[in-house]
Amino acid sequence: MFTRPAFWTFLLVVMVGLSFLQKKVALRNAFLFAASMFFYWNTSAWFVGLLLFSTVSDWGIGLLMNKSDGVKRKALLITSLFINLGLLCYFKYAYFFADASADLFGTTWEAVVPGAAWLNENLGTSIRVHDILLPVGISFYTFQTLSYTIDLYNKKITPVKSLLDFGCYVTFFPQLVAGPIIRAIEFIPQLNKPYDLKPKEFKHAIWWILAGLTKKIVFADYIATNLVDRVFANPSSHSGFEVLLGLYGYSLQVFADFSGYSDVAIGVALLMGFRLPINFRSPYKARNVGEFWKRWHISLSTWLRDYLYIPMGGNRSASLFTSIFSFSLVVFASLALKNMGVFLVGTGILLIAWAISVIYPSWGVKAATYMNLFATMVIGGLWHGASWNFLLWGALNGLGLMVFKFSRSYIPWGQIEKWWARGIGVILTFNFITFCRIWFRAGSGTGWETVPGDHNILTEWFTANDLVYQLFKHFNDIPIFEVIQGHGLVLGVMALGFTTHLCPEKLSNKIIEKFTSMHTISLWVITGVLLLILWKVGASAPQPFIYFQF
Amino acid sequence: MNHKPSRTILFLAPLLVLMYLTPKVEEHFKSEDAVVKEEIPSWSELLEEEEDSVGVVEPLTIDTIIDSIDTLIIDINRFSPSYATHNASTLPDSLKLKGSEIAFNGLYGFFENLENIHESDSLPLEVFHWGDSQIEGDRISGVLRSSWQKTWGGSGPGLIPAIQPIPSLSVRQEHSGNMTRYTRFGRLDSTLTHSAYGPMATFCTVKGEGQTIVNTHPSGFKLNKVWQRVKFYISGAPLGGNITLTGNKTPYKAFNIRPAKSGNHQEIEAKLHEGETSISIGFEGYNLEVTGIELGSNTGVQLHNIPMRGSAGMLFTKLDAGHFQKSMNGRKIGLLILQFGGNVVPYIKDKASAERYAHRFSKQLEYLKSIVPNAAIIVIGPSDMGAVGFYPMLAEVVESLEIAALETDCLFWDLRRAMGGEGSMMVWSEEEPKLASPDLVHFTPKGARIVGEKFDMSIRAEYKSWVEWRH
Repeated sequence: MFTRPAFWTFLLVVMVGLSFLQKKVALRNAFLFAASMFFYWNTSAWFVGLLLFSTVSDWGIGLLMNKSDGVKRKALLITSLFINLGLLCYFKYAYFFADASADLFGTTWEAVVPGAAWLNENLGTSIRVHDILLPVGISFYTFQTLSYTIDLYNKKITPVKSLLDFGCYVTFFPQLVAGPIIRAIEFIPQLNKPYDLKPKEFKHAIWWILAGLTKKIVFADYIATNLVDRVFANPSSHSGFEVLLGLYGYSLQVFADFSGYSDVAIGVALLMGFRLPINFRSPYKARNVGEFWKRWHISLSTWLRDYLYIPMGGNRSASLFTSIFSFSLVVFASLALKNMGVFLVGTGILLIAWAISVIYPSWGVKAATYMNLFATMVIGGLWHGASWNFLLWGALNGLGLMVFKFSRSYIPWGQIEKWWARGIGVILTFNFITFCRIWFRAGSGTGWETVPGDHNILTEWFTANDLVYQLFKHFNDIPIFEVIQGHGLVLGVMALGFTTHLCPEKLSNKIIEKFTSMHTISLWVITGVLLLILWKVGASAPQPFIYFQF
Repeated sequence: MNHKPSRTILFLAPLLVLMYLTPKVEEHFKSEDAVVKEEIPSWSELLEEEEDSVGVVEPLTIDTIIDSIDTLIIDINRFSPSYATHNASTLPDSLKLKGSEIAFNGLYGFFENLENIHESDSLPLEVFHWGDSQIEGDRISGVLRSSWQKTWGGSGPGLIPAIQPIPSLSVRQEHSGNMTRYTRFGRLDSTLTHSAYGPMATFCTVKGEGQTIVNTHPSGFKLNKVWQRVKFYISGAPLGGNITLTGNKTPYKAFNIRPAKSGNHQEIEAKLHEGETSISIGFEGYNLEVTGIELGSNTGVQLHNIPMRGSAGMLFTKLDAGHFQKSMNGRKIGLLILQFGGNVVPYIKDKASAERYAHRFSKQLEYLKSIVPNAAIIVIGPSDMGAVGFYPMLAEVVESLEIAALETDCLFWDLRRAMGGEGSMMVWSEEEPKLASPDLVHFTPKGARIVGEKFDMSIRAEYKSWVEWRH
């Protein structure tokens, strides 16, 4: 989206509008709301109605909640949760739930568009009954509106009186489609202030935009086209070493793609005088899994922490939800494995854990913390996509967090501030995160998901299966030197990407300082040249395929 | 001091103009000379290619391609695929097999053999599918095998190598011990003193002990998982050796390998217990040469998937002729499918070299005919490759291969045309789910399945016409 000239033309028009309305706050907000709706209309057509519905309903509930107390207040919160999560579940998870139910319980439910069959039959329309389309950005704006309602319920904020202001908050176009997820408490106060941007901030905004575009075009797209997509499309045609490179490439790609988007969103918002939170903080510098999740997709991690992990009991206690989740896990595992023994053993373990927590409360708190963490990560995994692979990815990360939390009490080397200790931590964390992404990437598109034949389980697993198989069973099938030679260019780009990523913060701050201290004309020239280079890289033909001899 | 929005507009607007104009300027210059920078074609060559391609392929619109793909999705649980509705006359031109009367008679002979398959047979009717990396992982072959075995019986994946570096959907395979793989395609090992590679063009040596474990593939076709018997093919065994076999259900068995020089052909067969899903094969000997393992049935169709990465299909005449002949003797071979050409496309610079390649390829076809005179031969041309114009001689290669096939009384199936002609690979790669890999050369499993079904559709259309004619 940000790589298309049409977006920048749109932004230019918005800036023209802003130049007239910069001091008229209410009008400016109304204008931005309208512009955002127009933007969403262009990406999602009639789903703009859904966005409008979410906006109006949460705004209305917010106003009512402010005047209510006790049960009525709670009922309003539940209504908001029901509407928001209901819509998200229907559009994002209907297929998954129907399939999961069929796999686990043998049901024959189907995910359908409500009323479509009736319309087709009675009005002669030709709506595809089974095609539930996913509205763009629904996961992001749903979490955004949820945070507003929950904060209101907890009396952390006051309701937004103007629908137009609230609409501007929910639909703010730079971050509407892919975040960062912004909180009302951070954004609404900005809506009450007139346009404000210092010259240095303007240059910083240009830096964000250029950095984001470079990440997206040079690192994300190039590496995806010339290495990652090839490996994931046909894992079995690549040696384990190539698969490993593909996985490392994917780790860089997914970071560059997502953080690139966030950077541009932050830069564009800043051009309009709004400050969005930083979403990524050099995540691959993390020395443990816990630190990684504090650096990666920060707006989501903190959302999950504040609205899921802590209400669930956090590191204090187990809640009813923790117990339900734990028991559901046992039921799920026994159904998936079709083994009653798993159910009995799992239930036994839960009962023993409960008994121990009664006798030794401190152990109980620890166990509850682990389970809350695990549940948060599993749900976080499902937020990313509706498939078993995402669930497994979340679960693996949850396990990683649990192991880290458990081990740090007994292995103090994690606290050693020596370069080698940090280095080992960074390498281990990066490899763990990368390994888990086998399931994340395999679940997100290309690959074996449509493998022919007499499949009886979800075929996405097989991409992951093949990748792991190649990694562990066929690592050296192609001489490593040959692979490096064959992929020289893309590996060079990857090396550059990782080097830039691992660049010390002091150095990058110096570079940013230099950039933002430049004269505007020099800045313009540099921006122009960089855009030309980016355009050229973006338009370059993919590298030809390479044949390796097994 | 505030930075006004108007200053931002002044900053952005010229950049935007630059972004709009640059592609147009580039396009302008590209039309004159930039194509040269794209590595392969010169401008004149590109023009020539465009002219030549007219009439060779029938470019379809994206919608047409997607529609035709949609109609091919079949319910694979049925014995007769739903796409098998055409006969030879109603089949779309793009899917038709081409060949002389003699070539078609060969195919009818294969159909005759299919019709004469009985449960009491002691030999299956075999089909060899040799190809380049396009068929790796049992792609395309697996679809054909599954379809034909459902209709005419038979089970099992057929030939597999003792060391399988490229995982296949037909079986899961692992090896351990002192085993080394040698291939006649790709990089050759100059220390080898013979070329008795066998029909898979690959063999593995065992020095001391080695073990191959074969499991059914969890996501493989159902009939791939049904193994009635296993065969071991041994070429050289200077001091003799042993083979041991154990399975989940099959009790321990041991076999002696008699001493033999490289180039000899020994065949050892063992029955497997019903429902066997995993076998462990132990090899023991000094410089044992294992040219293949075969899992299958005594009757029905046995289709061997033999991918040769990087090969242009010129290696058959380079195999030890005596050994190759012995390896093929004793089999009831009905059909040979050769799917090559893609690997030479990037290196062919003009029509003359395309013809030279095809001429050499026709020698391979003649050689195969001499080895297996009663089998029909179908040549599958290379797929569409790359973006439009990226491989300017692709059409010439396809055309030359077709001529080579027809002149040697073999059948030709134009894969490029079947998938939509020029530019179709790009369309397949942009389809969701992806039908082609981003390298714009290889199919994804989904794409390979569609290709397999299209080819099967063509074969079954001829079969239907033959049945109608016979009755």
